[in-house]
Amino acid sequence: MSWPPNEPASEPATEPVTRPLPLGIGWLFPPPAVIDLRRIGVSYPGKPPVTALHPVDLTVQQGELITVTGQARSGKSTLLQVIGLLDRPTTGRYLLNGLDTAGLGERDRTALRGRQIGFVFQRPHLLPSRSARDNVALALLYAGLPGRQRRLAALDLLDRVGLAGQAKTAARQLTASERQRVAIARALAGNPSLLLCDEPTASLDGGAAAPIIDLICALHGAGRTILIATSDPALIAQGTRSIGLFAANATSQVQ
Amino acid sequence: MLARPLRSLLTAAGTLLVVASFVAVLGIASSAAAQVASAFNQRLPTEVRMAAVQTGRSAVADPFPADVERRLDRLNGVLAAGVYWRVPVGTADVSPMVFAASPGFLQAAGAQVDQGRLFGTGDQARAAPVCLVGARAARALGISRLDHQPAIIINDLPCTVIGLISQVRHQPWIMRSVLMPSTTATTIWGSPGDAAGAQPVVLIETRPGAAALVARQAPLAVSADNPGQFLVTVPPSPWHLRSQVNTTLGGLYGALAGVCLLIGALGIGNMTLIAVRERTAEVGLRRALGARRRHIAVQFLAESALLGLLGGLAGTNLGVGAVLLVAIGRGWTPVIAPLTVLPAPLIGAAAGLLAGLYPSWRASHIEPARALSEYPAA
Repeated sequence: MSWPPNEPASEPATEPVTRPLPLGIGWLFPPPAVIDLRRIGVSYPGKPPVTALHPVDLTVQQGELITVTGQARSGKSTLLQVIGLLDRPTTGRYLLNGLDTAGLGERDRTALRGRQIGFVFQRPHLLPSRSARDNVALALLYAGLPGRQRRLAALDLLDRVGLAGQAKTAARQLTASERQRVAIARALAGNPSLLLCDEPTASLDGGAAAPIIDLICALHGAGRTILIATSDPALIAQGTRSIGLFAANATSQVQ
Repeated sequence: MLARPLRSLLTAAGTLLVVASFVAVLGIASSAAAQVASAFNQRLPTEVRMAAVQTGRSAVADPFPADVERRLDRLNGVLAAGVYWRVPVGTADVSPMVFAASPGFLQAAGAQVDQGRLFGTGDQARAAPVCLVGARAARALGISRLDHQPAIIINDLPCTVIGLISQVRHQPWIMRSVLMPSTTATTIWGSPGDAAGAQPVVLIETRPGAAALVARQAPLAVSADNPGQFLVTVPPSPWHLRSQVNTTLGGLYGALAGVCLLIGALGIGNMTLIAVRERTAEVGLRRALGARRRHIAVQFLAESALLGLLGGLAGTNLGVGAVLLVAIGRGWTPVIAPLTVLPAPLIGAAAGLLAGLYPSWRASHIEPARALSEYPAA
């Protein structure tokens, strides 16, 4: 992996983006969906077995901002974890950019997580004694970049999220909103084509959440594909599409 | 590792104690072994006795040349040498016994007088009618002072008592005997061997540890053409016993040191496991960011080994200090082998590495999804 990465498209994508194919006939063969879930479900063994996610179908195109809503324990986080290759589905089929993830080994899944997927968790999960810069640089550690390049890249990312001045501040000394922005910067470190956010504003009040929402909108405007599990009305309003998960029914319904 | 300095310090302290106890146990063992060796060295044989081989009832003519003492003094390791034999005075059960002895014999036996003097080369040359009396013999004879020049009548020959022997290093029978110069005895009774039972014996005092070598060389030095005519006796050496004692002690202390290492390694492993549990969220985060299992395993192994190395360095110093304190307290000479101290920090690192194997394996198999959802943020 090299740095700086190629910048995503500056024009917000309102239609599914098609890549040109040889012979100029790309419009006949649209590119695969970024995410294609077919009856994806997750259950954990036990007495009785625990269904964390009822089977669901979902297709996400390039450039969409999808908000996933639902009550508690409806499987929002589990859905994002499956999409983010952090967890394996028990049933169904998951295609990521046309690649069937069922046959991927742990090494390949880890590599995809590092290169194509950025994850923003509900809690920032920063290393409290390390600086904001070092926390962001951590995401590039396993990409094989040398230390100086990692630090420069981290400073650039912090600048994008408006925290260039806090680069050397220890994570434990940042505000809740600043920590979440550092987490977003870290998620962008590998220039992922897909950004997954699990309740990014859940632990923030209205004033603190606003910069996060603005940042996410800016990233979407720059062409990234974003999935957000959220119950924040302000975030839901920003989505190009909203999906609801219901835990009560035997199967989830996608709207 | 730096995020929780107290936890890291405690883990390193575990290695410190392990290595310190390891170094201390081995250092005390080697110091104790040195003490044992010193004690045994003090009991090494330092005397050799050489006599003619008895071939029959008849006496053997004097097998020793006149310069036997000079010949033996030239051997490396010999401190003194001399000849003695029992003089046939009256019946065999006469007490005290009378012996003829050369001045060299008195040196070899380590005879000391508290009154008077020992007879020397001058008395030997003149065949002077003088004698020395051992302390027990003097009490039996009623001799306690020499200022009135007591004399002992031996075969109608008055012999002036010139010294009372108060102690000897070898041949304790001297204390209950009367000794006269060998030339005086020869003048009265002839050479040893002329009379039945008067067999000359050479006594050689050697340096500690040289007795065995001198015993092999002495017959050749005295009679190169017929060394087999002599029977040489040396008291048994305690080398074998010392070797057994050291081996047993060494094994005991080595086992003790091994137990210390094992217990310490278990403690380090336990603390590392706890650290893995506390850092589950961090591990999940790293895995989510693209860390492979081997990255996580190497991280925890490296931390464990580093803490072990740091603990080993400090523990080595502490162990050496403990050995010094014990040695000073016991009055021993502290002995610490370089092979005990130099690899000790590496032993600490190895202990940390071994102790971290299972915890690092556990850490590398943490599932990121569960780790991030079940455990609080780092």
